[in-house]
Amino acid sequence: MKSIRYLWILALAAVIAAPLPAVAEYPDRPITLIIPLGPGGSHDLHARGITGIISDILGQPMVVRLVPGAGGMKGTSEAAKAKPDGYTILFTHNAFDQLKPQTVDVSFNTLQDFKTIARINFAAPILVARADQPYKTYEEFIAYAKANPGKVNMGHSGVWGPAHIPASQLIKETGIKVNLIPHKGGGPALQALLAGEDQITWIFATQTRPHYLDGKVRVLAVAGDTPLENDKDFKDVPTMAALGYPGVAFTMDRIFLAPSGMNDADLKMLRDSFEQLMDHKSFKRFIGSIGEEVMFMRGEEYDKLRPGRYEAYTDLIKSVSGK
Amino acid sequence: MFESFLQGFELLLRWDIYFYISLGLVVGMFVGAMPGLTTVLAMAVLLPVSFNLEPMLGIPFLIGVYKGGIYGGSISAILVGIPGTGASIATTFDGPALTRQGKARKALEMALFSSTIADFCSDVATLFLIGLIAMIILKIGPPEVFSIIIFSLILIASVSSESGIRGAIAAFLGLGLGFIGTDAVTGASRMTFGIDALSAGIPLIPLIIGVFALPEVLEAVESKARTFISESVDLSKAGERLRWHEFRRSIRTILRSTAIGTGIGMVPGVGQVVAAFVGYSAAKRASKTPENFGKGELDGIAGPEAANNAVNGPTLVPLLTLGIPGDNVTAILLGAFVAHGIRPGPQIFLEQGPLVYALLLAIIIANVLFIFLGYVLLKPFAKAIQLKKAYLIPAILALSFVGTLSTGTASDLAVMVAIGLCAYILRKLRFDLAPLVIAFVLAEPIEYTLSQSMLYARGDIFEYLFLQRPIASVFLTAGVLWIGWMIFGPWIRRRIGQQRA
Repeated sequence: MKSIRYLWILALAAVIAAPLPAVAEYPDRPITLIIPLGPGGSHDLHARGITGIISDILGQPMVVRLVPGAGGMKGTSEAAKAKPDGYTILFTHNAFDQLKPQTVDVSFNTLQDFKTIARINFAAPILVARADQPYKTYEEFIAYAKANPGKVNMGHSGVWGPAHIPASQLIKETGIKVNLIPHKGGGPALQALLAGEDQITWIFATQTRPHYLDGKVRVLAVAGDTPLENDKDFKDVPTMAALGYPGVAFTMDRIFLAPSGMNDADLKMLRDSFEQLMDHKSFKRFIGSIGEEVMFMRGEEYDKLRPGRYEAYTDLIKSVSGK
Repeated sequence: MFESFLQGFELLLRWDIYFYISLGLVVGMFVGAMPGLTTVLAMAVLLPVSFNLEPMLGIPFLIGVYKGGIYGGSISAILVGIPGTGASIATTFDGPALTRQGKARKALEMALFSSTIADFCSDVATLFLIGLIAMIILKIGPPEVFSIIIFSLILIASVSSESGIRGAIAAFLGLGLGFIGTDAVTGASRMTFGIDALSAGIPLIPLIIGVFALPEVLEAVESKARTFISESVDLSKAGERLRWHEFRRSIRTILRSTAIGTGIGMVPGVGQVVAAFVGYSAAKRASKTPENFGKGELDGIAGPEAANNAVNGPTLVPLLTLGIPGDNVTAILLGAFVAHGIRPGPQIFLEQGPLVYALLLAIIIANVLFIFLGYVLLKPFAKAIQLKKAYLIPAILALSFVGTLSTGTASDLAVMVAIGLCAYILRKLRFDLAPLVIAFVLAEPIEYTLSQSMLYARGDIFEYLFLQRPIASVFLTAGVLWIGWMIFGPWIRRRIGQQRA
């Protein structure tokens, strides 16, 4: 008897509460931004800047929630399972989106379960060698590695991370044999290079620069097909595509995703807001001060690229595990 | 260099720097004292605040949060036996015992003085020896880290008071728990038993709360409720201050731990936890009254607290000289630098010399400020413990749950409760769970550095570690000799005694 009365109260409450969200315009409460990475990385840093500025555009705060673990898959699956109401979105990169889910058991289907809101920029890994090594160019390095199979230690920042992927692509395309050494992140990988443990590695321009200027390292090539035109130090570094290896294509795209099933108007509103963000003065200043660039792509465009890249990674994973 | 040093000094001649450092210290101290909230997360949340401040204010502010937070973690370790971070696990050996004896305030003040003094000394050493430390850090690669961890574990085990077998079982359990989740080397998931909540492994905070807080609560429930409710800490003494003669006895321990911590601070990644345990073990070995350790010995607070704070200076070195953050904390600091367009690295002393010296000096001054601030702020914390246990324990439980949930997910709560129940059973079986926790923390670094060493060795790992890596071989050989001495030492001494007689 008592429980029926409670039901009545609940039903009444539901009737009173239900129309409210329909009347209010999205977003009417804070949006949670899941980052499947730990504190202190470049995603965290980007997010701390972006969340402070985009709230001006959305009219609601955006709150960062770091969910690291399981190689990014913990946070990603939390976002995939979230209600597609636009109040939980994901800030991730393409390796977590298109590659990693293929290598472990996950409870979601990344291509079906996510829609892209925006790609804000990307960072291209650079092939960086110690200055005391005999090779000065990309071609010389390949020749040296072929003449000395298994002798070169090539460091990377962790399995299927932004250094391991171009390394695997390079090995697949050229057939060289190197000793791949995993490290816990880009910092330790760089430290191993500077200490002389590793002779060559893949790192981003921002981390490479001080050591390049210091004369400790040489830059041999940049992954992908886009030269670093706006970079005064690295604008002449050849791209892998220009060197004849378009398959070494990995660049780390920083992307915002939303769980599929959001209503179209709200998704469009989010996509528009991110496009507006790119022209926001404080955002431009922030991106400039952290040494990055804005390389915006709308979510609709990026979504067209995802299936093709997903398949290219399927082949890459096969070639790596096939050995 | 001297010129930029002086210019750096000039940058410090303004009062608002000290205001922001103090603010950071106080905020950090409160966050750190809450079980389940982590200093790193507080720093990440407060990072945008530093974007809007100039570097000379924002970065010292964040450093204040960090220093305050580490100390805050010791407050909860001493008062209620829950370490706020891995770094203060060793503080739970003697802290709660002192609190039960009504010496909470003495313990808190000992922790405050030993941490700030050690931090101060290590920061000063860092300022003057930064070039040397930077060189040593580049000599410590994966094989060295592996050997140093193994050597430290042998040292820690050799002074553990518990029975060897039980300690070893607990340590292996900890290793096993540490291996659950994602294999860091290959990225494959393992030992998850198909449970989704375990796919990322067991997070440290739920483990710490599960091991240290929940059994406490269960034991309290189990003991007769009536006696329990009337039981409370001796109110008359909890507020008694640390006396000079008590502090003087620990000066040697503080200096020893400072040296240990500064040394271990050069080992990337594992610094604070290892330093605290080694500092405690060394203090116990050197003590005239080792039997008091674990039962409420002030030296048992000074040992780990000085050691884990002395790590702070050297961890800044790779950040400043190479632009490489060694852990989450320095990664956030790097973010604060970068957001102001300052890129730490080999050129920073040429380009931003005065600023870097000013920051290092500000860090040193932060320690001095903290002695005064901490001294004033400790009273309310010591007062809080005077609540009756009947109120205090449910309050701790509620805080632990909220804290875990705020940084994790609902599945972390389930993990926490499951670990708490197991920990309760293990405690009933008279297991000491500290080896479990330290083994858990070190499982991944041990495995990772060993796998890396094997890849570098390209074959015979023993030949590589002992013949090609001198530093690694020194630590491993010392460890083996130490074990030999532990086993055969008493026997040899007896033989020598017999011959003389």
